[in-house]
Order: sequence, then structure tokens, then C-alpha cells
Amino acid sequence: MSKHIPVIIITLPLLFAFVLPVLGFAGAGPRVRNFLVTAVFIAVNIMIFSLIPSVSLDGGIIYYALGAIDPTVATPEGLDFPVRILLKIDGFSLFIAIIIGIVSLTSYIYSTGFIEEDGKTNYFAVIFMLLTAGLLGMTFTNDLFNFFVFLEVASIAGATLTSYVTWKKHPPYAGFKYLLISSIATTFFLLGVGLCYAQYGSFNIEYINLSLSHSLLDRIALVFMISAMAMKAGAVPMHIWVPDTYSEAPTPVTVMLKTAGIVCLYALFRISFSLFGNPLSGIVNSINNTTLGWIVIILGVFSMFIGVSMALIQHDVKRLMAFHSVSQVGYMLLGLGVGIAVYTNNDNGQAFQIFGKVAMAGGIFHIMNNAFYKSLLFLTAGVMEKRFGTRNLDSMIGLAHKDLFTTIAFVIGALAISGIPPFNGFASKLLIYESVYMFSPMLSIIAMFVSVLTLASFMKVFYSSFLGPRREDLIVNDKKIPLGMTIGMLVLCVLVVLMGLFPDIVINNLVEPAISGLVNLK
Amino acid sequence: MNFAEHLLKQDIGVFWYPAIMLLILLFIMLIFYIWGRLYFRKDYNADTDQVKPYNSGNLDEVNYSLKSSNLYWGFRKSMEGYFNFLRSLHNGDLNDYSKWFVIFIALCLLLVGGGFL
Repeated sequence: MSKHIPVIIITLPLLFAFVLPVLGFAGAGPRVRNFLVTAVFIAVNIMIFSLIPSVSLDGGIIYYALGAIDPTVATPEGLDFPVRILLKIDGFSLFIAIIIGIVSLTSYIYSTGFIEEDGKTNYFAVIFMLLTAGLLGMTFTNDLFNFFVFLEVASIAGATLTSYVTWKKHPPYAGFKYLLISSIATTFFLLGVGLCYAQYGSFNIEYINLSLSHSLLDRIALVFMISAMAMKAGAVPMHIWVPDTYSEAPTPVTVMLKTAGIVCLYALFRISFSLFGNPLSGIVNSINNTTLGWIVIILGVFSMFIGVSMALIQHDVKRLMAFHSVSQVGYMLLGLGVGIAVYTNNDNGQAFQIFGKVAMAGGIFHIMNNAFYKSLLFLTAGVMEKRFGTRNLDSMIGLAHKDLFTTIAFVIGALAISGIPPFNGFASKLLIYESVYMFSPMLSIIAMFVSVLTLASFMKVFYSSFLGPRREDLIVNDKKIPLGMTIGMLVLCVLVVLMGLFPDIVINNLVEPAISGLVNLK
Repeated sequence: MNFAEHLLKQDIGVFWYPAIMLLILLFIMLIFYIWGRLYFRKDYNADTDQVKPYNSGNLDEVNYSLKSSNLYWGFRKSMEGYFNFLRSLHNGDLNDYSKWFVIFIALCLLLVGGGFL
């Protein structure tokens, strides 16, 4: 295995983002472009998967010091503190990178059938790759300022892609909205980074964590960073931009925006644990994790409930699914919150070992499950939009007669998000229900109730758009679904089913190392 | 703790081994299939009205005018106040979005800076 793989994973899509326009000027057609981009994403996936044995299975951590003669040493100059930009790949960052790799590959393959060739599609591919590079950079970097830079890259690319359909009225507004929200979030994140740098003279996450004095400035930095990431992840009450943006973006972009939200959630986990979580430091004035945990739990419960409530009354299929994204973020925050709340209990970590860790495992497993089934659902929504020329559920009927595969894909996704066995959503939700029940039964009951409402909401979509008589007059696009769109959905269907049938493989080999990468409770 | 064990063991009151459950389900379906082939009615005819949906004795096509916005009407009506409040929050105004962010940060700073956290 090459020692340069961590940096190649980020730079390969970045490099090809600049190569594609040159190829376009040289006269390369859409087939060459799609082949190249797909090959790049496959290569990125292969490289990410090649790290699993050394990182996830052996529990190792890979460091990569940019620009050093020996990049595998964290401090190549022999100093006590790192002076170079460091990439760090542990179980958790690899876990998120796997999600980014798979989702970007499937959504790009889907986009080859979804985005119509209009002479500008080359730009779409370029920005798509920039977005992927930004997300991978955010995941692998161990440097706060570097994280901010990648966050900006991903945000600007996301806003550009959202407003890709410039000839329609709403997408440019949605892109502008996303850009403004991202700007506010990144500004506050940068303020937090500045506060840390002013005190410790470094951007390195591990170095700051070891030097942390838990001063008032540290706490303010924590609030700025967590709030910014919570807003980008779409947590209530800062979620309101999510349906506006997700519904107007082209479907493959919606899926990538959702993945960007997941990466911001990853950053929230990282900031909570790797940067500010230092329960073994013995500092008396350290942050009260129980209160912090309860704040995250309350955020999670509100996200779940408000998200699903709003989804129930939507008639725009993509808005409905966007509200469910908010709702599902709530489950992850609930798992994380319970983990944080019992992280520093005065019981030698017993509560954390018994159910806190399982709650976090459920939350983290749910991130991957949600990424796959939610992407699948958005992709099926793209087919509905193509067929009926609208996203309004009132104007859809009988799609099952036309697209049997899309119907099956939708049913798989809908059952998975509702936590119905044997799909992957059930496995992670079961972990969350059980562990949260041991913490507080009422929270677990709320989580189950939200799942019921989720199922009710997707029953509505299924009834409205797939059931009923065949109505050719409502269908505006009678063409066969392009192969790319089918492949994109098929890959995600297979993953959703396999991860539901064999959750232990994912939990043992990916989720458990991800937890180990996040917390170091002895 | 081994999470897979946690997921699979019965000590927490849940048995979840989806591969086995799926096999059991397939086995049950096979039994029903064989039973059906042997004993179920054989006068099924796909070319007659018997395959059409039954709609309270009305032999015409089932009325499909019930749209998405009609579903869960009672639920929505009974909780109209709650949904109207939620709708008013999701008004699409960016100023309001920023307002919520400021409120959230202010609350958190109060908790943290005020010594509650």
C-alpha cells in the first residue's frame, strides 16, 4: 500500500476537476467525460477500501504530514508540536470517507442519466468533483484551518450545483440561500478556530486537545463551532434551509448535499470528542458533559419530531424527503447525546460501557444507513419528477405500472427509513431504541413514535405516486429510464438490503473502529 | 463490548438474526405456496370481473380522486394549531433562518458562559 494514499484520495478528484475543462476544450465528448469521472470515483473508492485492513481491522491510525520528506511521521521535524498540515485517518474518518465514496459514485452514475446534455454538463462534472474533494478533505484533515478551507470548497461547490438549473426560477434562489447559510456557518466556525489559535498557537486538533485549559474562551469556541456544524447538518431549530435547498437542487446534487450534511455531523462529533472532549485530563473546570449531552439530546428530539411533523403535511415529494432528513439527523444526535451524557459519569465509565457506547454505535451506524437509504429515496424521487414533470404528489398516480424497478427501490428505501426489518434502518434504530431506553425510556418511546409517523408519511407517497390506475396523460416523459439512473439506484438497493441482513459485519468491522477512533475511555 | 453480540444476544430481550429470519419467512411462504396449489380454489379467471377491485358493490372502476393532500385529513385538522405554527416557522425568509441561528448561539453562550455547562 502506498504511503501517499491519504493525500491521493483527496487530490485525485481535485486534479481531475481541473483536467476535465481542458479535455472539454480538446473536444472530448460526454462519454469520455462520464467514463473518466466514474473511473476516478471508482479509484477513490478502491483506495478508501484499501485502508480498511490497516485502519478499521487493525485499529491503526494513519498520519500524513503534507510536504514532509517522511509524511507518515506526525512531527517529521522532531518538534514536540506539529507544524505541518496533518491528515489523520482513524476508524471514524474512514467510516465517513466510505459513505462519501459510495454516495458520490452512485449519484454521479445516476446523474449521467438524469442531467441532460446541454453543453454545460462539463461544468456540472467539474464542480461535482470539487464538492467530493472538499468533503473528503473535511473528513481526513486533522487541522482546523484546513478543515475550514475544505468546508468553504464544499459549500461553494454545493451552492453552485444547487443553482445548476439556472433556467428555472427557484434553483438559483435555493443556491443563494445555501451559500448564505454556509457563509454564516463558516464565519462562526472560523471565529471558533481563531479563538483556539489565539490561545494555543496551533490548528492541530490533537495538539489543542492535549493543551486544552477549558477556559471561557474555549467554551465560546466550542459553542461557535458546534452551532455552525449543527446548522450545516440541519439540526432543529437551524434546519429551515434544508427543505428549501434540497427540494430545488437537481436530484444527484440533493444526495450530495445530504452527504455534506453528514460530514458536518461528523465534524460535530469530532469537535465534541476529539477536540473538546478530554475527560481524562482531570481538569476540575472541565465542561459538564451531562449537560452538554442533554443539549444534544434535546436538539435530537426536536429534530426528530419537528422534521417528521412537517414531512406529514408536505405534498412536494422532495420537500417531504428533505424534512425526513432533518428527522433522521435527530436519531443520530439522540445516540450521540446519550453517549456524551454518560461519557464522564463518576462510575468509572460503567454506564458508558453498558449503554452509552451502544447508543453512539447506533447513532454512528445510523449515519451510514441513513446515507444509503436516504440517497436511494431521493433518487427514486428524481424518477418521479422526471416522469410526471412535477414534484407535487397530487399530480402523480400509478407509477408502479410504468416503473416496477423504481417502485421496488422506493419500497426498500421507505421500509428502511421507517425501521422495518430486514432493512438496514432497523438494525441501527434497534441499537438506539434499546440503549436510549436504558438512559431514559421516554426518549426511546418518542424515537419509536417518530418511526411510526415516518412510515405513515411514506405510505402517503407510495399511495399517491405508485398505486392507482395507469394514467398516461399525466406522464410527461415516456422514455425508458437511462441505465445510469437504474445502476445508481440498484447499487444503493443492494447495500440497504445487505446491511440489513448482515449488520454484524458492518458493526464489527466499521462501526466499532469508528467508535474507537472517537473515544478513548480506558 | 462486542456490538454484534449485543445485537444478536437474547439477554436484552431481542432476537435479531435477519438471515435466519429471512430463511424462516421463505420457508413459511413455500409452505403456503404448496398448500395453495393443492387446496385453494381453482376457478380463478384473469379475464373476468372477478379480478377487479371490489368497491362496496360498485362494479365500476374504483374512484381514485383521493389525492395526497386528502390523506390524514383528520389528523391534520385535529392538530391544525400545531401545524399552522410549524408552517409559520418555515416561511422561506432568510432573515428568520439567521434569527434562529443567533438565538441558538445566544442560548448556548448563556448556558456555557453563565456557568450552567
